[in-house]
Amino acid sequence: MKKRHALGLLFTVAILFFGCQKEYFTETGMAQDHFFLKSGNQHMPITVSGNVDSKKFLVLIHGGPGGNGLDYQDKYAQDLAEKEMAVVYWDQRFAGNTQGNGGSSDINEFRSDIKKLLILLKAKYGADKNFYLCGHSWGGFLSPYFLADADNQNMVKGWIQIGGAHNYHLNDSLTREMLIFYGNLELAAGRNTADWTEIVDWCKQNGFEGRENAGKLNGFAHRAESLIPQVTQLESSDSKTSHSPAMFSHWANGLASNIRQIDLPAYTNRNSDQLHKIKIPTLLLWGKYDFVCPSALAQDIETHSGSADINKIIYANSGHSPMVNEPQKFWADLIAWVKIH
Amino acid sequence: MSFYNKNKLAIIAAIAALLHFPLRAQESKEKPNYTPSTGVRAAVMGAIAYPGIKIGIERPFKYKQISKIKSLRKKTVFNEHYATYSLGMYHQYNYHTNYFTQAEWTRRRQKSKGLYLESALGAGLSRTFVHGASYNVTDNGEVEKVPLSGNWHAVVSAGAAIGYNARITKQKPYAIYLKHQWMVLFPYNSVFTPRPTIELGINYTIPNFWRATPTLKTKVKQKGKKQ
Repeated sequence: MKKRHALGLLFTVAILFFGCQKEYFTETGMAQDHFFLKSGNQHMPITVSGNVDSKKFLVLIHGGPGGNGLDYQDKYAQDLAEKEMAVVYWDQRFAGNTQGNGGSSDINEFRSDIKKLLILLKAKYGADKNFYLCGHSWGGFLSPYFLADADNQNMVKGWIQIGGAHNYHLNDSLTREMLIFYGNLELAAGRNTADWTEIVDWCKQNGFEGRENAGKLNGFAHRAESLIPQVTQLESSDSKTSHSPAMFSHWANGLASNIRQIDLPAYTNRNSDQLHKIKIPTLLLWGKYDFVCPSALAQDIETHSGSADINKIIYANSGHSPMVNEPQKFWADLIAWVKIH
Repeated sequence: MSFYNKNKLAIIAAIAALLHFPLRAQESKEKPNYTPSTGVRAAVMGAIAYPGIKIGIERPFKYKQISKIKSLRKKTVFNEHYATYSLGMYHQYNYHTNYFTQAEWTRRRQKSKGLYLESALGAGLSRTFVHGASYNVTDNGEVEKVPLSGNWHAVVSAGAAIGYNARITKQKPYAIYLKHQWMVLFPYNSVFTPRPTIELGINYTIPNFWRATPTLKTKVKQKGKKQ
């Protein structure tokens, strides 16, 4: 009987030890905080890393759908950005290391999650802190989708868009045009002719509309970036990111995102006609050779945004991820902008 | 007695002589060399990223003694079937702590020198606790801490192990084993997530503990001939 009691006690203590987590948020100095936002059935991990004394928090809205926040925490993010500000690495629902048993994957839920995330961050780090919403790729669809709704933009000091897909329809048409344009240039130069012939021929024979064509174009776009000699490819050790705690979770969420076709509503919701509502300072960071989300999307934001304070920087040796292709210049520009806003 | 009858007797005697050894083998199956018994298992398990422990009990319910006879050599192997029940947990930093219970059907091929190979199929239940404080934001914008935040999952598993049973040759009450297992948690965000683990454990036989009387079947294989 005693043995049974001891075993039961051990089990209970173990549950309490691992199940009840201490509540700790860095108030000063360098943060390395990890906690979760529970929204519906989703437990979304948040890592806040960096200088909280700066009172500036860069909230990364990762790509995907089904990407991973910590994929952005490479040595440059740590050495450059985190010294100057706190960086918030958050995994969206059905993405990265988010755990759960399903629930809604409607894009309205993603918008609601961003709002909850900002409320949580303000509650735990202080309402006096300044937050900057920073979307990349798919995150570049969610960011304006969130900011243009109600008075959400009042929760942040600025919007940073990095190779973002705020308008899928426009995005796909631009990708197709860009693939044909650069494909012809590369063919004329006699570089990677087999690849470019396949890409250009497909683009000429097919349109850009529909999820199937969009998927094919996206695949070509990633491939095209690797074929352009001007795009800087970093050593793998330089671009090594923080280890994702559970790679199979990342895999499972990627699968779930595909099955659920999370970004399907993005094909009909174009965001552009809502951009005039966004009045906050905006920074647009794009790679010149971003075939995935061409830099003409930045022009569309400039044209339609309601902000009087827009800065745009095009990186001459970058593709879809300038933070990977030209990290030093990228972070220097971003940090400088955040400091003055 | 006629010549024919003499020859008939000789033939019968020769056949009886030829059958002599198999008949002895048939006799020996009535006395099994060894009987599998209930064992208590304890193991460290998990992966580099998520260490854990597992304890359990295995109970044999069926086994077959197979005698392989080749010229003058005789080898005996046992095909054993166990029902195994386990409790376990692992902890993965910044991800979750998972407590699980599992029932497995384990098939073991026990060789006469102690080495064994086993395969196991299992099903069970898991409760995860996320590693980190968890917060909910209400519709009114209030932040609430969520205690014991995590999820329930069903578990199915498949594994294979190699082990050494010291009872067979050294009459010691333990076996050690190394097991590779894939646990699959589901539903996990509409799909499932695999959790590969390695388990290094000991299987201890406590005398007279929950004595099992597994049913015995025997088989004799002689020079590739099944009987």
